[in-house]
Amino acid sequence: MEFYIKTDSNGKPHLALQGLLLAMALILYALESMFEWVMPVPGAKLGLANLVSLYTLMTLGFKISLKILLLRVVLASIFFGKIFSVSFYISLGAGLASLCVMALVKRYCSGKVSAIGISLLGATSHNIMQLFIASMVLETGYIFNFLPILVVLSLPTGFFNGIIVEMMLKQRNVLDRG
Amino acid sequence: MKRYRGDGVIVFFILLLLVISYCFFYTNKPVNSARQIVILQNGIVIKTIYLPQRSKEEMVLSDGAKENVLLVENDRVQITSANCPDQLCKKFGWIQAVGQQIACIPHRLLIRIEGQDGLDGILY
Repeated sequence: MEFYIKTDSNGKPHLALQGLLLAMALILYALESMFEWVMPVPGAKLGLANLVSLYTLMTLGFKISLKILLLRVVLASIFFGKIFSVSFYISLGAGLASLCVMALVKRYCSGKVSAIGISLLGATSHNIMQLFIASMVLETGYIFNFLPILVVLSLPTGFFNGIIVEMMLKQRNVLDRG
Repeated sequence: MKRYRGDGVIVFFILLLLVISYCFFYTNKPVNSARQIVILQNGIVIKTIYLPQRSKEEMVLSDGAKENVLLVENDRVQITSANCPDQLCKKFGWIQAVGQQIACIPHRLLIRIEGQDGLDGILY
């Protein structure tokens, strides 16, 4: 699948588009931080920021989505004063794991899965990696009994993100007008 | 429609993971048996409290500068104050059922409620 993207004179995706995506990721992160209280597990977030990672992965490829993910995690941690804390490492590790799984599925199952499946798998791998890092810190595997509840909580957002990205891909050049 | 067939497989595996993990962690609950609070710090059990407790009891768990204040009341437990940076452990609220947990990740602290299998109860 080829998607038309606005490119600069070197044929690379426009820096302004990448900046726009990063800004959107940060806004979604701030938004989901405001809605942390709806989650029954303390510290759990909705996962809306994955929408941008997924869209970037589907349109601009792995490298640029990796760049946007790293910048989003680092900048968000600086803004919220959490840089180099445990939660920073958890969101960094889990974000990387989720992006890698999504990229692998997109690479090897292209044409067989839609954005919805990729998004759900990304959400689940985020949860598993999150608990894995937490279990390393706590030095006990008991923390994994949060896995069922976290997976259940991540499915609605995963599904929502998948549907939105699928709709955006059908519009093709949704970010390219103007 | 072919693009959505893989999605079905993914959803199936996620649901399978959900069912397996739920069964693994939550189905071997001993019913009607006595419970205990097990407190782990750095992966080591530092304290076991048998429930129910007759009185309200507050205890301070400290590991160097890391402090969490625990409140045990009858058959439930809560963290009332802590000096960890994110203060998430306080938001877990009361826990009382077997399998429920409070985690304070910055302080490497995990408080969980376990059933006492092998014992029918303790007489005081």
